[in-house]
Amino acid sequence: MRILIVEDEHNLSQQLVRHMTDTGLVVDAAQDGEEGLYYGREYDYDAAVIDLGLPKLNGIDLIKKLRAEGHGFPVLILTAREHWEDKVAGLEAGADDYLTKPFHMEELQARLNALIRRAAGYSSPLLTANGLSLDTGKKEVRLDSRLVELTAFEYKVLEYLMLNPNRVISKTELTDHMYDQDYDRDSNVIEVFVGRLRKKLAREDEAVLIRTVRGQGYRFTTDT
Amino acid sequence: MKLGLQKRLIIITTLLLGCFLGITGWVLDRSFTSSVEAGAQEQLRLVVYGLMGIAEESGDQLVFPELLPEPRLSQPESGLYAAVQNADGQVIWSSPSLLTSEIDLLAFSQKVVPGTFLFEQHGKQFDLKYSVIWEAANESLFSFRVMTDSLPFRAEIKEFRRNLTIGLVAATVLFVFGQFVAVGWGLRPIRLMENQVRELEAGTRKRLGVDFPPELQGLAANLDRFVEHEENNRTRYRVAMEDLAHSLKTPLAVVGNELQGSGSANHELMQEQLNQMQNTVRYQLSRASSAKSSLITGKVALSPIITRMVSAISKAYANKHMEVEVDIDSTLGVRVNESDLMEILGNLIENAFKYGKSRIRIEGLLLTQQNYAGDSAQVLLSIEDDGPGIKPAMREAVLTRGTRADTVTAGQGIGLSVVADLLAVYGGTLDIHSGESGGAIMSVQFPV
Repeated sequence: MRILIVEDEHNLSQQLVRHMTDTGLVVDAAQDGEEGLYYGREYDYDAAVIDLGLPKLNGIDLIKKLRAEGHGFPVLILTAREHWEDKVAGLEAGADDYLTKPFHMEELQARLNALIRRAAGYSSPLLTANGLSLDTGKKEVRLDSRLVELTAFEYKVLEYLMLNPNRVISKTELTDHMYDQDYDRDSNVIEVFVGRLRKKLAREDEAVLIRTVRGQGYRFTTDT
Repeated sequence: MKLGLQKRLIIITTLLLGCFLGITGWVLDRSFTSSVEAGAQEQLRLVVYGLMGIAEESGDQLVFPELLPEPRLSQPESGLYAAVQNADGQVIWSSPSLLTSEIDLLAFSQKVVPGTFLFEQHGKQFDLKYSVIWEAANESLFSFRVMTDSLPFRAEIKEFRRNLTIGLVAATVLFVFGQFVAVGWGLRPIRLMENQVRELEAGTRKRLGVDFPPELQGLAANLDRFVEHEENNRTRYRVAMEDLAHSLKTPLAVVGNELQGSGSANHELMQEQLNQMQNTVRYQLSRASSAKSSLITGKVALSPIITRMVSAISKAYANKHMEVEVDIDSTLGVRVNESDLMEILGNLIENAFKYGKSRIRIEGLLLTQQNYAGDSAQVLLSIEDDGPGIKPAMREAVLTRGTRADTVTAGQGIGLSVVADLLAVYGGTLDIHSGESGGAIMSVQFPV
């Protein structure tokens, strides 16, 4: 999962990056609205956390611009402004949720997860398809009630594929959402992870959950 | 209630006009009557001189020829009569016109000092008497009396009075009409200003216009300056509050988050102290904002603002799939500053989303009550959810600062107390009840 954080307060920004990286997310942090807009345009994010009082370009205008340019990733407003006028303006500009400072990191994380799931069309923290269930809270995967042991990266790949069901995901896109910008894109690590995942998720009825679309990427199918 | 300017002006000018026209009418009437009577007196005086001119002495008597200087004296019932009396009051000569009339000369035989005229009116006659000592008739005293019917003169006066009345009434009507036009025109800038101030209050106008006469320009400019000053103050205050909020809350967030992961021995104590600081900052900043409410508050329509807020908040609570029913008349409005109203509604609607299970009902009513001071109207807004509700024992507590009725969702528990504080600024109230489903009903009353 790749998350964009736009927060001008350096300490808070660092704290957010550290916390989110610890939970296995790929995080980009922008210090002002313009930098946030640049990142938003440049990368395809799974969600963004945006402060309202930002230098150069304020949070509301940033959200409006991103939305106007067709970027639909969920946005959570993180603001010190208590006023409903600001919250409503943010939500109307295109944000999906808001959290006022001071806040608990766990609450932010829970809200962010809920937004990402909601954007993928799941309303509960449990993603299920074809007997496969992925608990985004506990970070557990079960196949026909049997617990499947996955490494952190395997889990991330599967979670991303399940959050984008029936869509072809290119290796580049998968890489972008798994790793930081400076990752070597030519590596065949993704292929290795997908290969291992397929083995671990092999079912007796031989239904294939992750399909390879030749020359394009992978697709998680829910219609086997 | 005090009389309006227009009524004052019209009443005072109408009273003055009434006095003026009354006095004018009386003076004109008196002058004309006097001039008519003077004319009659002059006519009679000429007849007296004519009679004296043709009188001939015969011993100590006077005799008059048959041919008289004024032909009407010879015609019966002609309306002009003459007679001459001697010193004893005996009539020694009377005009032929008098013979057939019923005028009793002796009834009014007042003595006149010789050489002077006495003009009187008896009944329907003007009567002029002149006494003279006639030297050629042995210095005997003779009184010449000439009378004429006053009817033609009275008719002339009557005609004049009729014309005068018509003229004065027409002038009054014209003046009163003109006065309405003049007062209306003269007071138009004030009415214009009154309308613009009302628009300013209603929020449909930002500033007063500049098109005022010089007498009002100063007032308009001062009002504009006052409104601008008020707005600037509010904005400055708000920006200061926001800056303060930002500069306090962000470090608090950083410290709080750092503390959570630190595993320090005093972790709980420090967290508790930090929570207290956070609550104080939130509460005091919200209170400070609500205390600075605008002087000029227009009527804000409830329905559109509630629809807007419900749609925005539903977005943040999309995973709860709440069914929201809003039943508010589109004409219902309250005199509360829009951003304060959003604060009140935002806290209440968000609570309903937070604690409700699946349904929210928002209803607005206009209540009119009769009491000793007359009719009073209030807007009653109720927001009902189907959540666990608030126990009666807790209701008062949640309205006071820092108390949280439930721990279903993390919150600092100051939302409802901010709502109650804000409502108090506008003279409104917040009551908490239980609905049929057991959920909370937040009833807000706004004065209209």
